[in-house]
Amino acid sequence: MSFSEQIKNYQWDDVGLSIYSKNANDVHRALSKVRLDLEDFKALISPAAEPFLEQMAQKSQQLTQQRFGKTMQFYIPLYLSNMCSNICTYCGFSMHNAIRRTTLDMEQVEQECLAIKKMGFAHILLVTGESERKVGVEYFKQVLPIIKKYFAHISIEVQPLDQHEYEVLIDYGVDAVLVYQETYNPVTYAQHHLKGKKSDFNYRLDTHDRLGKAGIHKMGLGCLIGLEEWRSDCFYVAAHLNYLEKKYWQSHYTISFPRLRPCEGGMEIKSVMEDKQLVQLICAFRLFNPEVELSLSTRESEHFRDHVLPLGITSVSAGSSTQPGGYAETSLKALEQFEISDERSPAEMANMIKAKGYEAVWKGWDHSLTGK
Amino acid sequence: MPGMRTNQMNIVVNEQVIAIPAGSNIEQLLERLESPLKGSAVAVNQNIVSRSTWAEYILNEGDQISLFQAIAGG
Amino acid sequence: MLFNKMPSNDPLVIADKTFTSRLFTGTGKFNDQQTMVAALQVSQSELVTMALKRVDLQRKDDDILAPLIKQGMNLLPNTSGARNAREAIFAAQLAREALQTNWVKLEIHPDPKYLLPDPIETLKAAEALANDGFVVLPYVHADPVLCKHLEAAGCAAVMPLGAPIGSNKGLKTIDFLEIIIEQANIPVIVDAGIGSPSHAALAMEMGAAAVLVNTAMAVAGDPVAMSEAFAKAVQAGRQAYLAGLAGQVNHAVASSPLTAFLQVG
Repeated sequence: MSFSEQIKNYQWDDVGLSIYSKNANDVHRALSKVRLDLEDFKALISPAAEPFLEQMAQKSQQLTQQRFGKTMQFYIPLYLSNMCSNICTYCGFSMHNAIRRTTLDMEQVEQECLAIKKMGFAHILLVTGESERKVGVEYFKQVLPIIKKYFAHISIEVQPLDQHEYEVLIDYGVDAVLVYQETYNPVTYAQHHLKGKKSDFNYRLDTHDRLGKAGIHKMGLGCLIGLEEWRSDCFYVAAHLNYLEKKYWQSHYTISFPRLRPCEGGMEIKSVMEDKQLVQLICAFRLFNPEVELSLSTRESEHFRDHVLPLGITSVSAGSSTQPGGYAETSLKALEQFEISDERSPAEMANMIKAKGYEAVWKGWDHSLTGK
Repeated sequence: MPGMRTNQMNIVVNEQVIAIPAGSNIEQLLERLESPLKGSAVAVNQNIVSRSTWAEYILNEGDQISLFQAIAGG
Repeated sequence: MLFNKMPSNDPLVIADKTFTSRLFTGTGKFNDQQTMVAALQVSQSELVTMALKRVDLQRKDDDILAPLIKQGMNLLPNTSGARNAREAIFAAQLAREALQTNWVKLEIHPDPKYLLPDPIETLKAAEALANDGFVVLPYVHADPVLCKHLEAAGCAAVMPLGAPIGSNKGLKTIDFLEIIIEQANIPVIVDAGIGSPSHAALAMEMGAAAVLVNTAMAVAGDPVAMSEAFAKAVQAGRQAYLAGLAGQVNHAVASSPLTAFLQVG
């Protein structure tokens, strides 16, 4: 049994209808329960919950502080490569986009690590395009020992891998793996993923099952908000999270909220999500699952992040660059994956957090805890 | 041998010594004890004997037999 | 007054059996067999527990099985008396022979005073029995992590206690039962400690798949009437759960508005 089996319990159109049919009573009930279920989540992301946004935000903040304290985990993405053998209509790294392609060699990786370390980070997110042949497990096996020298917690966001490949990477020090389904609607998925291994919807969908069986410490999920009706897609994220938590109950989970941004190749966004709707979604997730890590990246603006971080977010990136070789001064600049909105330095972000009464956490994990 | 009837043997059932005809099988033992065949389980020398073989299982002198029955319980 | 059985559009499936009634019952502690049979009949229970013991050759016990089988009840022998995994496995094998069922309620309590279940021996025995083809229903403390381990070991359900056996104290472990129910992929049957129909209804309202009641029915002033009350309570609790309970209202702490920034600009 894997999620590609479980997902058959839901019909895309029925899910949408169900969400839109929720009323104020459903929202009231969801707000007054201690343990929410997926129907409650639907109510909280439905239009009927909009008048209750302030109440949701209050409760979300309270729950987050109870579980996480007044802290914010800082991490930084390191783009190792923008090589990619997929065509995804929305992405700057798409195979047909005429950009300069590069993959960092070990010396460059070392230089990037040194530059990043100076900024104070202990948690790093390694990102690549999806190019199995050139940037695959063998490449990661070379990179990870270098990264491990400098950083206490390593996440990766790369192409979906097989279970035994994840087991290898876990041995090499990977703590967390993030894989976004982009959209849980297979028809829309096919329209945006035109070529390459990423066009295999089910293989991607079952990645978290493979991760759970490999015994990963933490896994991340989410959808690319804007590819489809965001309420329906986000419901599927919640359903996916629910399924995974019950099955791989010893894993940690994290949710991200990437909203589509303009990039090279320019495309129209199907379902535009307004700021207040993203706030609603973040609060809905927190109320639905008080324990899950919620992450907000530098895709979002300064103004938005300043106000939203205390409402339910527990993990943020800062000082990010989405191009390979973006940190060390001597590196050449290749094209970035998406535009950064919040360009503040980590130090500025930490000060902002402190002004709000939160502590910036640089190191929240240690490998010695896993005995590896 | 003086004093011993050669067609009888001693076995222990639920820690009680009883005498039965030599060469008896389990089914015969249960009948002798007026114990219902249904709802009963038998272990000989700590080994459970499957009901399907009760008619063929020949008991030996000195066998320790435990005879179990379902009783009320929570 | 007798009432109809619950509609079967809410069946409880455990392993190879489907149940209409979510009230499971025990056979112990009744003052006589006749009362026991009458009470169980009125309870509409479809699964009943019993123990195994060595026959007293001097005094024959009543044959409790015949009337139960006649009523079409499913039998769930327990391993009561076992003090460790080895003894429990032996008891389970005996029970399989005696009752011709591979269902077993795994019950290991080395402490004769409080009859609390031994978690370590229970997990050991559960793994062995599940591998040997038994349908294992383990009786345990309301320990959420232990219940996940038992699920992984192949148990068909878990049976966390509400309070010590026979105490009739109700759902003392309610906070942990909630967690177990939330995290379980298999049915959760609250067993032990249920002292009144309201306790049983509460367990069902929380989302338990079923409850197992013995002492409270057997030692009531009128066991037959009490059994009927329990049957109604389990039905009511289940119906309430399915109907969607309204939660308690907790007012959020008033402070400066957190979402006012959305109106700006």
